[in-house]
Amino acid sequence: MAIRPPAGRWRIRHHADMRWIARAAVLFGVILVLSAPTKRLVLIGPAREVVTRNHKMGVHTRLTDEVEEWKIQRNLEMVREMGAPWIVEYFPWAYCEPREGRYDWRHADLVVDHAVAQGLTIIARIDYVPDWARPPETTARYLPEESFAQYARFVAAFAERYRGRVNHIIIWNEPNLAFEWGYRIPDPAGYTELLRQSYVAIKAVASEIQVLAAGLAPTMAPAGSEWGMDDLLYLQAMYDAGAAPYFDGLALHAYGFTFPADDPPAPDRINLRRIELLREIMVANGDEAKKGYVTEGGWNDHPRWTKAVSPYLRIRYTVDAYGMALRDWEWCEAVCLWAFRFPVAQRTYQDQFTFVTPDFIPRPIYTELARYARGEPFEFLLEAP
Amino acid sequence: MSARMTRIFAIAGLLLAVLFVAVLLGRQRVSREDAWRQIAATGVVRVAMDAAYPPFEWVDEHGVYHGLDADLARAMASRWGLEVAFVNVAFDGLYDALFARKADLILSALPYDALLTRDVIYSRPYVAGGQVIVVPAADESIQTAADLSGNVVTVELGAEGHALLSRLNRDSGLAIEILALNDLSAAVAALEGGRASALVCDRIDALPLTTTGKMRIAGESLTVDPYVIAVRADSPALAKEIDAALTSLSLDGTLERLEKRWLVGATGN
Repeated sequence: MAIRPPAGRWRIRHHADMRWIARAAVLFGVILVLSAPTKRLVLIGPAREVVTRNHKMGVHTRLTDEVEEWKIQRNLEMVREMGAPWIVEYFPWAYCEPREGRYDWRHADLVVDHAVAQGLTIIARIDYVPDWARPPETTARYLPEESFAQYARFVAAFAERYRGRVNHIIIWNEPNLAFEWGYRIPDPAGYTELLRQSYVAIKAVASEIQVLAAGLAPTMAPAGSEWGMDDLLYLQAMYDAGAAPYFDGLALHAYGFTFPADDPPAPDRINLRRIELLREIMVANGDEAKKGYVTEGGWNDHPRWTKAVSPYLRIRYTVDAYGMALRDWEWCEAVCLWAFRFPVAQRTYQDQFTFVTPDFIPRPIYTELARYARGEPFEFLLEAP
Repeated sequence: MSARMTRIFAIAGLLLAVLFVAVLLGRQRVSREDAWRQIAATGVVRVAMDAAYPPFEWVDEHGVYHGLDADLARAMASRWGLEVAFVNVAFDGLYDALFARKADLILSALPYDALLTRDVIYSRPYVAGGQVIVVPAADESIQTAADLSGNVVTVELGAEGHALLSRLNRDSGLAIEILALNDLSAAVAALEGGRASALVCDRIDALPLTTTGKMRIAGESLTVDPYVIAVRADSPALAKEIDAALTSLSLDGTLERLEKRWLVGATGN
């Protein structure tokens, strides 16, 4: 039997204690609020539309490591303001499923919410293997065959969560490079199996989503190379392995390097129009009804990289490429060039692929493309748009 | 001593023993995996670089590697009594090549990256890039970014210097009149012809401009990008050897000779 204190005294002491506790709690709350880091209030805002005269214009954004929401929003606003309705964004599997079956969609939600609000069409690239899905001492691009099902389960979960807002998903990235295949010899049949499992899993939850086979790195790596496999040979090998029923469209990587946009394609040449050769392989394998999507590409204007051109030529070639896609590539839905902006400067030639600096200073290429999209006179280029 | 104290000491002793064994095993693991041991055993140091970046590194049609980084790798290997094997990897694959043990180190005009210091060990810097101000040799009026305000300053259209001046105008309240020209040679001509008071460009581009004596680099660099060498975090012994070699090559003048040969006297292929 519990001994209770005298009711009156207890009540008085209790009330006095409660007052002090309440005061302390209020004080603690005030301190907590005052000491919290200031965070800019970001509202998603009303739905916007992209105004452009070229509905195929797009960019590969790189918001993966962008922490601050206002920067995500500003980045996507600037894409819209440039007149590009398409973006490719990278959603690393390891970030979204850090532990098996435990999803963290917070960052992906931010990107998708803001992109949709800006009226942008999102193509999601998904790779980057979490630690728990690969052996120790392997890179994050190493996906063992026994983990294909886990990857497929993840892309299906992604599809289910974002259906209606993200309608295109790319399965992996540049699997014809040893680097992107976990420093193993590229394996078209192995990749085809990954594609098959992913396609089946996505279609089971969201049949309307367009599953894109990975963009292949444009390369002429000789047969048997430990570093990569010729993209033209790789695509045909995918068809030979039975890939055709397991993708709705093909992602394409179209880099111009030192050649102008209209430089003719050839198997022994790496240029923008090399993707027309990939298209020919699709047609030869009965896939003419499927669309292509340029999900990486463009030119670099670093002063020392041997595969770069001058900034002036980069602007010229880029305008030409968007125009050519609109005019000549009926089979190509979108041209998303690498890379709109990095969250932080890379301090290498990679920075010279961008359209906007990390602190949102538009490079001349951005200014000129915005004018092109609006049909206004150029500021730097001599010719009329 | 009470039985209770005896028990406490016994448990503490046991924990210390476990900790000691764990540390010992950890040390053995590191020393077993340190790339330096592997290099010493094979007599070959494998150097990853993206050989498409003169004057730091490029490879000719015969497969011969040239440039400051290639020569620096040879100089370090020579000091160690080893052979060099170059591993040519695209820049975005350099770190994975290191982690996948395709190479022992990265030497490829590599900037320091604070985000990767859990995964790699960086050497001391061996050369610095970054944006600088170039002025006519006789000009003493411009030394800092603030001195550019109110002046016509030329840049290559769209280059990093162009973005930097735009940023200074926007964020630092300067009023620099930017003369953006279609290539660097046009910007240099504008400076030489008096259409601009200064030129802003990368230090690596600026160094060859100073050889004639008509132009000089003014003041401190506006931005500094030190280049470093990277090894895996499990290779502290190799990292130590690299730093020692860089110190030695600096003291005996080798680094200065390499910079003069590749950065001041030539601009690559």
